Amino acid sequence: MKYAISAFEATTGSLVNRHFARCSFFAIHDTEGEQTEFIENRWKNLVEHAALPLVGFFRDYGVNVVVAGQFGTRAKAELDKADIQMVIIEDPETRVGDIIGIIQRAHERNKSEEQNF
Amino acid sequence: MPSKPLIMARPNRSRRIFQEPHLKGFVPVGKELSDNPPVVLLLEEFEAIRLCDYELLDQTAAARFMNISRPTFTRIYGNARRKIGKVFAEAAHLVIEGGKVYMNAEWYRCGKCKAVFNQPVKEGDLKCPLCTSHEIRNLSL
Repeated sequence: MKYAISAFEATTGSLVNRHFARCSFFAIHDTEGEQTEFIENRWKNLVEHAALPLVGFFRDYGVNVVVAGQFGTRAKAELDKADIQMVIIEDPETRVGDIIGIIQRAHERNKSEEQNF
Repeated sequence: MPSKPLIMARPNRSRRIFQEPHLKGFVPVGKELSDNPPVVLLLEEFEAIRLCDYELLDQTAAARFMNISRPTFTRIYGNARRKIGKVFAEAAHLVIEGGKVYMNAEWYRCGKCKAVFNQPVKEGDLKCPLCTSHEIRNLSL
């Protein structure tokens, strides 16, 4: 599973950005390779419809889940079309590293359960 | 004298909203809560303000999103603006509740990690995409 988490800065210590399409960076976490990379949001300064090229990029990049503080109406429509799942983080104090930690712990737990089975 | 036929008004159509607001209301800063009743902003009025003044949609596009006619949208939006004006001018507190709405999509909250999420692909079991917990509550009900 590939996750894209909206961030202010390219570090895991960054807070999760409240705006999906207008954030500066995305942390892309892949549970298969268990690695995280940061990519810059090239479309954040578009006057309008910033979500359109961004969602297209995520679809081609194989992202399954996007995480942000909130999603705009247009972004949601595009993500629905691309079958990409949305996750809203309501607590503004949540950091990118917290989200990656939750995902990693769940992934490790599921892996060990599968091995024991 | 023949009795007048009973004419029932057409019931309001449900208005579509993106999701429930993250908060229940607002309290003015620097003023003690009075006994006056709070101003009640309906969920469709909150959505009208969000679409027009936050997402900067024009009224036609916002009306289409909420699945209502443009004049109805204008009326809802006008009511919302008047209520917010009253809150500002009278330093009243505001409660966001009620109205006749339905959610744009099904949203769920994880009981464990508190993430709110949707489920675009309907097949498969319903679990939290972050912590994979099955302790899930449907927010649309």
